[in-house]
Amino acid sequence: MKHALKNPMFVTGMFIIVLLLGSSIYYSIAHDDVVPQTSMLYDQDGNLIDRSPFTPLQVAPFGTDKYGYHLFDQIIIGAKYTIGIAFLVASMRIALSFVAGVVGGTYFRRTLRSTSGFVDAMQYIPISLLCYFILSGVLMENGMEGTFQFSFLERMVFEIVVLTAVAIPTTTTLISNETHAIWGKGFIEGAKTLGGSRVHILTKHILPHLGPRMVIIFLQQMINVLILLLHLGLLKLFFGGTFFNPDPILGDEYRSVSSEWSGLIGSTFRFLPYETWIPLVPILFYVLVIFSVNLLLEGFKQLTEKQVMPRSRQVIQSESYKKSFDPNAFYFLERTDRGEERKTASR
Amino acid sequence: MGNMVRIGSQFIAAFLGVLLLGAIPGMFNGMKLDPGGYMKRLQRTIEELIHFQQLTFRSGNESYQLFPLIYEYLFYSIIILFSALILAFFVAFLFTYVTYISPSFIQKWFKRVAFLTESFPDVFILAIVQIGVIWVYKKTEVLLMDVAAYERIYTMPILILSILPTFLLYRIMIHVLDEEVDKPYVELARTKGLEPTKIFLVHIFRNTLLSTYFHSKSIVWFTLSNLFIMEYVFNLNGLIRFMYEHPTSEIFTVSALLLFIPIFLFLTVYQLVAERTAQEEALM
Repeated sequence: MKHALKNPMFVTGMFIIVLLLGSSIYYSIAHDDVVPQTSMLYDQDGNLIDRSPFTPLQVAPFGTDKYGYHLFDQIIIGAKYTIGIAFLVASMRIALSFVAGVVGGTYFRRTLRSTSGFVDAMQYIPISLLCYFILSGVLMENGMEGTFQFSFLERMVFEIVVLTAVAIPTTTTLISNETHAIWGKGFIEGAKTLGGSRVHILTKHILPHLGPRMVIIFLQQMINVLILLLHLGLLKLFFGGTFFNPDPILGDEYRSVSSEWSGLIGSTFRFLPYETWIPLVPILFYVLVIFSVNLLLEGFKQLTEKQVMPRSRQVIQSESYKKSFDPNAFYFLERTDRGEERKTASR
Repeated sequence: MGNMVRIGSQFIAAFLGVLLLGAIPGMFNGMKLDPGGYMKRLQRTIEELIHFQQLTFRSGNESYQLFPLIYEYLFYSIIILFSALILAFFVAFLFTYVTYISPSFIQKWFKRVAFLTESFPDVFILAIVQIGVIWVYKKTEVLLMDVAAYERIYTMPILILSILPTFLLYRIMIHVLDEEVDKPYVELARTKGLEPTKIFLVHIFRNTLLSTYFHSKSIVWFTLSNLFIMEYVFNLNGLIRFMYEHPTSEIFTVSALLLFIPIFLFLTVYQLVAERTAQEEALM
């Protein structure tokens, strides 16, 4: 673990994520998630110069959205939701798939092979589309009545469950394949011959080998969830629910209940051509988080690979090659009667 | 012969799988699990599918016949998908070749850029493209991509869709390159005096086919997800956006099946080619 901290990629990735999460949580405690709003700008004499939205040049550091809410604060508030949800869903995916995968890879190989068709089918459908179908009934506000059918907590739980469930078939198959591959390795034969029971081999040999792979799969899942959230946000399915305001003058409008990043991006994407910074800044932060997780992933891979000896070929030039040949060091036998001796030896 | 059976059963299994998936929205009555509702939805979907010529969809207040109109949507999405993938493969291969013949510090830079771009979500690329198109328009009055048009455009979507898969494939190919360059037969070939280019083109290409075979499903799936978002953002008249706008079980299932068939064929052909190459490569 100590050398984990020496790997620059790992540390950087970790640092960025901790920084974002930490400031987000701090913001909640210190400012109670209230977003400062600047609707109008005045110059020194008190004259009105401009109204929201403001560019990053006018209002530091990232400008404001259409209503004057500061983007910087929204991003900080939303960070914990975005990163938190990704972490939570990825953890649940891993936890459930791990149990199912290890058990499946060890005991239920046949059943898994027959259900592989179903899992296969999921590869042909974009997962964001699938999630959209399942979630839209629950999470969209019923525009007519202006209320949600279900409470905030219920909606959150439902979304988390669905986001977890859609990935479980594929991840379970992945893990069961890995488990099966480890079972096939040579040293397992040895352990079995020595009389280890299945459970014993499982805990003592298989699981430690799976460990590093699990971390890698976890980090990959985190990225998957982040991207899935982003897509859903674009499709106007925001975490915690979607406010829907059909407005004939300004155009339909969607707002997110929480300030979660994909919600920010989804609701403001139409501003991309003219008030570019409004969706672009959250998008850049999104890229930053995904990049940090990639750093973590790459750093971790490097750490686990270092334990395997790199197969590098080095030319070994030692002095002994160059020693001269001393004829007196050898006894030379005469090949006189050897032939006849051999004849008699082989009967 | 055994191959045919295997492929056939894979096809049927996946076909049934898509069918089962399409009825899943029927399983949720609000937030409660409703297995009965699922079975009913599944049953209804299968019945409607058997009479698929009669399927209709609603647009505004009108009902239209689904077939054969849906084939246009299908071909549009499929053409863009496959063209983007093929383009991505060759561009990635080209980049790999350039990397191969470059001095090592340029190689390092290529790899760093590839690592960076791997973190870009498709939304980011789309945002950049949109900003880029508008910026170019403001400067030169040339509209590279008319997002408001109803007509189906091909060039720009294919180019845009191919960006992320290119990086993905490039990463895989570089990995193959690194592994192969160290192998004994490469050194042997070099000492024999064969041109590095020829070695590269033949062997690395073959091994690339192999490696991408393992990842082929996930690459296609990834590109398909990108296509979905791209169709949505740029208002393209593709099948996936059609699915999004008409979220009924029947249309979902039918569209998914229609998408699935060409993709399955494409992947199967690719896998067969890759397996053949694997046998030849194993003889090396």
